[in-house]
Amino acid sequence: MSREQPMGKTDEPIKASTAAYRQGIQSLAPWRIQLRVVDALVYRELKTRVSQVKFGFLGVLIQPLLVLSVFLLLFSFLRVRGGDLPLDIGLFLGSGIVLFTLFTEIALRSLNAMDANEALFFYRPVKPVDTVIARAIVESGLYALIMIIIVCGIWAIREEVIISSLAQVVASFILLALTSLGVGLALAVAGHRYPVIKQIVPIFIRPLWFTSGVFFSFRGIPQQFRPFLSWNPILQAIELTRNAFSQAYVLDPSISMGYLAYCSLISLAFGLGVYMNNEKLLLKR
Amino acid sequence: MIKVDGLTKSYVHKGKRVTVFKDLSFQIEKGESIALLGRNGAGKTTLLRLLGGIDVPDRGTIERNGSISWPVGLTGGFQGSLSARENLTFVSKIYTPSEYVKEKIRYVEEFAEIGEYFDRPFKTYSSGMRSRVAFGLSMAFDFDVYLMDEISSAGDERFRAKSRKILQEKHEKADFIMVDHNLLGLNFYCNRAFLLHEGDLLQFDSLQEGIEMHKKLLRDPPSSKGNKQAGKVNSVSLEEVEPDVKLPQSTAKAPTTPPRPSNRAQSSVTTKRRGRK
Repeated sequence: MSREQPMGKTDEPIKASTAAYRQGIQSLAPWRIQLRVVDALVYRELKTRVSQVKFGFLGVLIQPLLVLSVFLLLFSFLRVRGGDLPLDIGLFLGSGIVLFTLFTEIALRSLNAMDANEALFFYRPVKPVDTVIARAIVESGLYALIMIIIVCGIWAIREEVIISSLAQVVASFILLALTSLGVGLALAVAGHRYPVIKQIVPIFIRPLWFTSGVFFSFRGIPQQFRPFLSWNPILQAIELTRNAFSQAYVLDPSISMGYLAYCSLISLAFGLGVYMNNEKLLLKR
Repeated sequence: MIKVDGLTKSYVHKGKRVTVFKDLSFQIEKGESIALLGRNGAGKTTLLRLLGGIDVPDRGTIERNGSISWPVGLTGGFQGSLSARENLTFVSKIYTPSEYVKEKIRYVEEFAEIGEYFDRPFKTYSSGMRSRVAFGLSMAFDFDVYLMDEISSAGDERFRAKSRKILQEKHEKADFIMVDHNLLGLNFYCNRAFLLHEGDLLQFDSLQEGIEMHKKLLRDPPSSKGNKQAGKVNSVSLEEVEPDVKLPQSTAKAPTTPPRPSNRAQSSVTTKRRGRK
């Protein structure tokens, strides 16, 4: 009896506000429902990531930071002699690795977003697109944070870091994230329709690692090969970021923010188009 | 109100298309609670999922007027490495404005009564704890229609009594659509019955009629309504009977159910079945 008591007490306020719930989620505008769902999914995704590693949130950051420092060590040894870079090697490699990983993580995680979140679709407001968006947001936030840590780290070591154009750093990061989201949406649909794609895509993403300018500067490669690489939005974003850190890092004329913006627009339109035509299929069991 | 028109659902298994049901049309008014009957594999769960909007039909339309719950007590959407509190926060963030999230969670915490486990990873829970949390979560929100697919009577007697009480409270304002092989439970809530049989849907305006027909179909071979003739048919009927043999046991286990006039008819059927065996 005594244990029954608190039950009754908590019942009261909930019933009092019932009217507000009754209107419930249905009376909300679709974009507000989506906002709530994406917010909830981001929360879930983050909590899940944190729960799966040690040291809490720090643990989530450690793995990509470790990868980065290994590369940094490796390349700073290799590059020391040719060290005529107009940009700190840490910033040079950091921007390359962070932006490249941002793209691949969003693309690859979207590929599996359908399987991983399948059970969530019985909460009817949750649509497949939301799970992809949520993952893209989580990755973007994570890698933005890592980027900040890198810049701070280098600032601590060198005691000076010059960012020529913060706006350009932010813009190229966001535009690349949007491009990745579009690609991710298309991949999520494709991977669900043709499961083989889930095995193929990771293989084809590998070579991008070498053609996206992660380890080299675009102007370092011979003129005649540049047109074969310059289409790549990842390379564009990486080069733009390096240029934003230091004006001394000169851009090739084929690299431009306009092109990157164009890429993100096309990619988003394509991804959403593919998704809209297949949404029902994604929900079908 | 739910209005269904020309609903067809099939799925492809190993290159073969299997039709679950074809061209179903029906209407469920506000104030009507439906018992979904049919043998295992008849498509009850599929129909429930379609009504809830979780699955998409091949053809046909479903008009829903009012909110419909997710299948009550389902834990599939729970992340094993997260605690009940975190899992509930996720769902509450979707269904309520953020200022009510804490309130919802407190409600479920007190309803589930699983103590400190509430903050431990969900995968460490016993099945009883899981269903306590999941059931509590469904009850924390107000829907116009609740979908219930075999809500298990997990927990001790006190918890079951509490669950029954809250279901009854919900039933005053909301309608249920339920699947339950323990047919007794349906009596308390349902006033109509839908029987899924070989891709068709038979509607009964009284639950008793529906249950009688359901039992008859379970007992007799599905295709031939007369006496059994072929050995093949016989074997089928044996299989069909099996799930229902459990019925007397579960009735015995069910605790202190409030006596209802319809109960009597029910038990007479049960004894008849026993006698046959």
